[in-house]
Amino acid sequence: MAAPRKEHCPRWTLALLVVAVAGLVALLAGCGSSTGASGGGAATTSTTPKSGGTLNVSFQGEPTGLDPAVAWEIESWSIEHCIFNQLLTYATAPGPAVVTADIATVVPSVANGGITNDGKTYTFHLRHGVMFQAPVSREVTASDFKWSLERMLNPKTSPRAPAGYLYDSIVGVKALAAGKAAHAAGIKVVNRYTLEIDLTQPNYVFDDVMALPFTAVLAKEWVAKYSNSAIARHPLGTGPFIFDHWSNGQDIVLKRNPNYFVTGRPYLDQLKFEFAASSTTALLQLQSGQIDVLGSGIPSGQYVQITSNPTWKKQVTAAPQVGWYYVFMNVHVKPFNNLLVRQAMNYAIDTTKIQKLLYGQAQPLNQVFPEGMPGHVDGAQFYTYDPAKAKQLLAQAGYPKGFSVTFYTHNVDPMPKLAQSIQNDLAQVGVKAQIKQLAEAPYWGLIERQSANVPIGLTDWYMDYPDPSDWIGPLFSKSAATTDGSANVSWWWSPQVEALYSQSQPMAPGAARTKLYEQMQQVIMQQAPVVPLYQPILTTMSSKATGGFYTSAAWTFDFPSYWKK
Amino acid sequence: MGRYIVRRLLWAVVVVFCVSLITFLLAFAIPADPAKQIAGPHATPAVLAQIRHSLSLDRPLYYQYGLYMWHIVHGNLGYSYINQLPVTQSILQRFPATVMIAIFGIIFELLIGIPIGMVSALHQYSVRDRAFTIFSLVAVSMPTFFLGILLLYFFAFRMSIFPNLQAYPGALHPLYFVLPGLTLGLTGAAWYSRMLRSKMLDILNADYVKAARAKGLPERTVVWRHIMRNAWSPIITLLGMDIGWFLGGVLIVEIVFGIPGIGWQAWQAILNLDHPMIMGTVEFAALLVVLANLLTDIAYTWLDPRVKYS
Repeated sequence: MAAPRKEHCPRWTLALLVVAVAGLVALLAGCGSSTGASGGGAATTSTTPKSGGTLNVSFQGEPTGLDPAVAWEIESWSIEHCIFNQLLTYATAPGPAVVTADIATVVPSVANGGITNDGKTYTFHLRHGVMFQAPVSREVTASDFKWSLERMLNPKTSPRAPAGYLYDSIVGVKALAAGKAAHAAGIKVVNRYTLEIDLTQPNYVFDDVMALPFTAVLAKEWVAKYSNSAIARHPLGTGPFIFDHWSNGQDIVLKRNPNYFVTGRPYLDQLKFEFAASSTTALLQLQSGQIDVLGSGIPSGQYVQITSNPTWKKQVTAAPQVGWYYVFMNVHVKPFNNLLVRQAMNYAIDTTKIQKLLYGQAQPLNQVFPEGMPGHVDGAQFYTYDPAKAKQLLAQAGYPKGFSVTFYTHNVDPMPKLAQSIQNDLAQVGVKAQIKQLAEAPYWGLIERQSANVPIGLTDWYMDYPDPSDWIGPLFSKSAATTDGSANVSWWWSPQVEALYSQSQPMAPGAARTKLYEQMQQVIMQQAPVVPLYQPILTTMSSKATGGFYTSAAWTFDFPSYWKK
Repeated sequence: MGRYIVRRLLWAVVVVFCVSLITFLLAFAIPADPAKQIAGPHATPAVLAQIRHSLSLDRPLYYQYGLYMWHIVHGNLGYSYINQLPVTQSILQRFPATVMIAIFGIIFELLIGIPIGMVSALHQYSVRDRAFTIFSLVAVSMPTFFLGILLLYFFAFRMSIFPNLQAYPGALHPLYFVLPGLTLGLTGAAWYSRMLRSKMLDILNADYVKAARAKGLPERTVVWRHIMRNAWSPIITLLGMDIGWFLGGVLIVEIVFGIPGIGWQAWQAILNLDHPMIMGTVEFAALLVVLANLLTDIAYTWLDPRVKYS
């Protein structure tokens, strides 16, 4: 769910570690099955949740902060999910991300009277008796939600809230965000337990954005006690766990909230997040029973060894993430301004080889929308690997001998690996690609500037909310194609997609709307501003003592649903 | 001597100032936007502009540097862009762990390096000498991260002798720092032993050593009073450099062993374009190097009465 930021850990160093450990792997493989203080034996498949115990989680890199209005990365979101609640949330169950009620009694719909005024008014009824955690210990009311939403949207109180634009459709939010108003007129407290939100136009992803942690409820008096910026280190909400402490660079500890409004939850007494810098070390810790959840996945260098080990492979969980890795081609730069060349690239790159290179951490994707995103067509394949066809198209385009080009990538795993594989493929069809590798931050700065004229390179995108507008808007729309700093780094747009996109916007989710997105995908793949490479799979591990473990499409980790055997 | 120290300390201020200026310019020379690092990949241009404004990143460079120096003069290293914590506090919080790694690293360097160097020199071309030469070659060539993981695997995972796979307990637990120290120490010891060996071999043939032996002094006295006393200087030079370097943070060792030290913090700051944190950690490390060099120079005068500063 979270657009994961990858800047917070020294991954290239880790990649080095992983490579270095390749030698060690043979050694580990030889004795791995007998190792571990936690003892051998099959994982018990106990399905009855048990209360009590501490779950130790290892995260590679420290969260930036736990202010739900600000933080936007996997680590922060999965911890915030333990501390805070919104009006709506995402179902805490395996499978696709489905919006469900959190502090609201029900998800508003036209049928239940929650959505009125032609889709422009949302009414939320709050559960009674939801208490803020100690020491605030008072009931949550509708005005707390109004205050929290306005705090998140007001640049004076929250200058760094990055997600304000998701709530632009609320009446008065633009004025609030511009500093011209103190409140958003569209957020109305009807009574103690009723909040009404007016939109300027129907917005069918409004449920989704109201389920994101940005809208979590905070206690005004608690924020006043610290400060708007210090709340990131002193979070207090209504959720199943109470923040206990955060030792800088070391760990974050949460304790069970005895007054949580869902009876019987959470199961755990304590959650401890430890920050490891090396994923190899984290894996050793899991195998020796020191940690229970590998928060940052299995290091790719050890993936094969773990999944072929009879004891440990049972502890591996793999779930596709709603995201994609792809090659972008700048349609304003020669030779990629030529459609035939772009299509030739789609035939020339062997994506199956790339998926093999990633050892089960990737699944095929020959379209724009990944599995789990409406608009995705199962098994759709617009291009196959066909170097002969690629050569033929290049000849037709006027490049019978190919051409030379600089291929851009950043240096964080797996990008350099992908770039080398692609360089090889392109050489087969006569295209001499010279790889230019940059550090991640300057890389984004460069490719997101149109005047930099970066011809071709690698990028990725992860879902914010499960609606295909989250793909078309930032990646393939005209407004993104004409704005520096946007993620449409092909700088491609088409009147056809624009027309379909605006047609889809006022439509309610459903088959007809999804059909439009399928049509947009057809156009995009035919015009080929991108070469889809694969959909990432998050492979992670839990200890034998962890119960109820799964990875959530929305939260990645759903700690309140796990227990300790 | 007193005046010398004062002069060196003043120079230290100049050096740290120059380092700060260069670091500042370098951090800004990176063509990347810290606001983007703060707000994440999906942030809109408007939010980015807001963040730039709130951090004064939209002001001219000289203004920003002036502001920074003004704060430094007032003892304030600023606040991290990323986690909003005071930089000084963050550095001091992580410093004890780095100090512990440094102490253990240096102890192992000396404990292993000096005996090996002495034995090698006193028994040149013997089997022991050759074995130690091979040890040195291996230890110098082996990358720190690989050595670290090997030690971690055998002594913490397989044999559970050291607690390095348990949650990091804080800097007051010496057992936790044995393996990190050994990782640094083995590599260092190899250098020390080679330096000591060659220096001692030079001295062994010096006239005053021959004279001492001719006087009939016991070998022990010859070695310790006449040879070692004069062979210390390369060790002290190396030691001075190591102290500064180790205290500035040893990234790879910190990462392999999961120890939140200064090196890890600096590295994260660089990846996050966290300018105040980058500046703070670099200046801190520069200061330590300068001070360690000063101590080394003072140590020379104490070891060798011929050295005089005026």
